[in-house]
Amino acid sequence: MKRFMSCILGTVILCAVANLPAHADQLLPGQVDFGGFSPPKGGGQFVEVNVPTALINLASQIVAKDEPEVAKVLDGLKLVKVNVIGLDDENRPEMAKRAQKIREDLTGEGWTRVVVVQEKEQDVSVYLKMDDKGAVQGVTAVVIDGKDDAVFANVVGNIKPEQLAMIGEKFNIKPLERLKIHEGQHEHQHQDNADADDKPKEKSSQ
Amino acid sequence: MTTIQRAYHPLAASCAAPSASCPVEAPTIEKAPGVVSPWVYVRWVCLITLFLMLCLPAVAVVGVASYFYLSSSTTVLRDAVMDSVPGRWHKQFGINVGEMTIDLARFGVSFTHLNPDAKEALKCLDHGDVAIYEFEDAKLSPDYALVLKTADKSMQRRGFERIVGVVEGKDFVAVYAPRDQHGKDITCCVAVLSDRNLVVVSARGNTGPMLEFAEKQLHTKELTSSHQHWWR
Repeated sequence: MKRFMSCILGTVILCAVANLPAHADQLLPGQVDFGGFSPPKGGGQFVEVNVPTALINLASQIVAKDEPEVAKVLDGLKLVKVNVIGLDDENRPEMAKRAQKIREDLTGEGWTRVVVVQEKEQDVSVYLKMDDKGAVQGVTAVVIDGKDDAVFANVVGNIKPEQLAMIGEKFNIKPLERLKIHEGQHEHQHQDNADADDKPKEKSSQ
Repeated sequence: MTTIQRAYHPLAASCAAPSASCPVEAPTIEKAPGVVSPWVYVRWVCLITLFLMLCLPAVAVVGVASYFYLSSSTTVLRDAVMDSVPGRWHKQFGINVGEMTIDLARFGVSFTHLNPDAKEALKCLDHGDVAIYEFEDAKLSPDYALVLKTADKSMQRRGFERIVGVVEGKDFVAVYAPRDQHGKDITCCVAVLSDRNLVVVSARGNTGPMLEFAEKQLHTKELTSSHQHWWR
């Protein structure tokens, strides 16, 4: 009996130990780990929104009757994560470096850059992750908006880049609302991108 | 003759046998097989009544005291924020309203002419607690990065994850929800640090009435906006 109890106890502890790091490190397909962000010390803006599946489902049910098309888009989502960090002299170079690293990582992990906008001090990149069958797994946007703020957004699920603004509108996430990508623009950029072998291009748009 | 059931008789213990103090022998009761003596029931009823009489005041005291004690999640969040902001805090207000109180409030409110929206909103809530604290020291200059980090760590240990974190100027807001939120109930814990005040709130609601309420609000909004359009 004693041996049986210790066996059970051992199994439970092993399962718990084995499960902990797996749970912490497991990312959904299409999910990006931007790492942790800290509020700027100068008192600038810092916004972090992380909408889990349960809340997305709730939002979907709320709009299901009046806006079935929006509900359909929301049903395909698993996670919405947005980080907005106000830029000051102290963190601006660090954020620019970080944005660059995230872009490189995304390219290395098989994400396709579908939108690139680099004009004046604005630098917008939108990436798309698709599975083998061509279904969208996630969209990621990395934005350095002039001298004001840096935005890192990741929407996991079946979504088109031009629907990002709508997601921002529905969840009242202002930085996503600003990302208005038009369908034509997306396709055009997608083509450019395929031709240019993923090389960043200067493009004035919006 | 069947066994004599002395134990069930009130005189059985003291007068088991005739003696100088109790010359009368306890009457013997014959018990039919399978029949429980009514004294058993009497004894149990007395015991239960006594137990209830002793417990009711204790339950009442615990019940009243529970209004002033925050739920464990709220306490953890409050402690995390306070630990990362050195200084003295003074509690200004705190209340914890459980399901029973909310049910009673719903029942009471159903007889009043309260705004229907308020009644509907009350239906959404299952449990809620809120506390307000004031920073007593002269200057409050928290390191928000540390506040977020400490609160995240403490809440993660309880299975919560941060769904919103906002820092803007002197205002700080953090909203936490259980990592695995399933079923009909939805829970969240909120900490707001603004100026010299800290507000911690925890609430659990039912998504069913919440959806109904949200739908109604959406329709009302739409009707109002279409009405405004018509006027314009």
